[in-house]
Amino acid sequence: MAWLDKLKALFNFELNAPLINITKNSGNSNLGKEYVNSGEKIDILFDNLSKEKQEKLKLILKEKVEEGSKLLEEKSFGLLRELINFQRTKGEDKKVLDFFQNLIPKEDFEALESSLYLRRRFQEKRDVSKLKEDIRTRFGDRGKNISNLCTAGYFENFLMPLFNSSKEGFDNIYNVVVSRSPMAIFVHSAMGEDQITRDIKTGLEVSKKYGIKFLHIHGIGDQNIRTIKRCIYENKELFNYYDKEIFENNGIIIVELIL
Amino acid sequence: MVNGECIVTFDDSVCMEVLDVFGKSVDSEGFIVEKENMAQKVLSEDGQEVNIKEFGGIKKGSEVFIKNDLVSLMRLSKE
Repeated sequence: MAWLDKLKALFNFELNAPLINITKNSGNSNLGKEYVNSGEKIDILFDNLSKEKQEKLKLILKEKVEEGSKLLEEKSFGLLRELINFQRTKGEDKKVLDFFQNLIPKEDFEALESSLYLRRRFQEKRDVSKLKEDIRTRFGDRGKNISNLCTAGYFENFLMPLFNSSKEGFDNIYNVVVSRSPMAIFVHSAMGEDQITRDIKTGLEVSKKYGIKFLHIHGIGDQNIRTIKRCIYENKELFNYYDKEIFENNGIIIVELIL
Repeated sequence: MVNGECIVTFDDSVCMEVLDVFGKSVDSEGFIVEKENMAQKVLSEDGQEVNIKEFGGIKKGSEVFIKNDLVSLMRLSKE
């Protein structure tokens, strides 16, 4: 790696950190310093470099990429590193991916794979809002449905058993499930009781049409749990028509209607 | 090191300097464009225009722009 030798020579530092980051931000405590070595990474302080060194650094970065290496934005690298680790430690998620790899459209598979990573982050109680938005931006409402269904375990606990019991049943239902998610309503903060009620009625209709024997209403967080409970109270007649179970634990609610 | 590669990254504060290295700039809507032809937007590997807010990096001879979203980086993680 010729570019790396040039970089070390330019700053006369030993590469004893796993990561080198280029940043403008220097802060008052770093006046006059060309780089800061925290042990975990070396931050090269671009604005503190002479014009000549800035230009030499730019040429080195160009050479790095031209030699075949990637040059990544810092946060993107952080996510990429996690995704590489995800690829190596898929565990049970690999079984899901292997199962669906040749069964579902390529884009759905990509959405599923991204959703499995999202689910892992969710289970670690880390923020997933940007990841969810990324899936939705790329794959639209279908991607959003796949993400919700995956996080709630529908791929393992509904679609896989369905395929194993009836390939024809799977072929008939899969597209409806991921495009409309009729048997699982995922309540979010922007949904009011009226919309939930509408979605439930639509879900009941579609589920019955395709022989799906249940409807689930999912909610996460106190606000969504309260909204769902208000919805149940205000639609007593509708809900009392079906056998109903309510599972509530750790800020998650699932209302199950047996059809 | 990751996969034997020495990792060099840049943060948001030097995005424009990095783009300049590769002959790129940003148009009025924030899309990354060719400096010599501001009407020509750069594309990601799957043919999408890249806004500066989505700029995740560069690979392979400066013509392949990496987007910073989950799906793009998931694809990259398999390379």
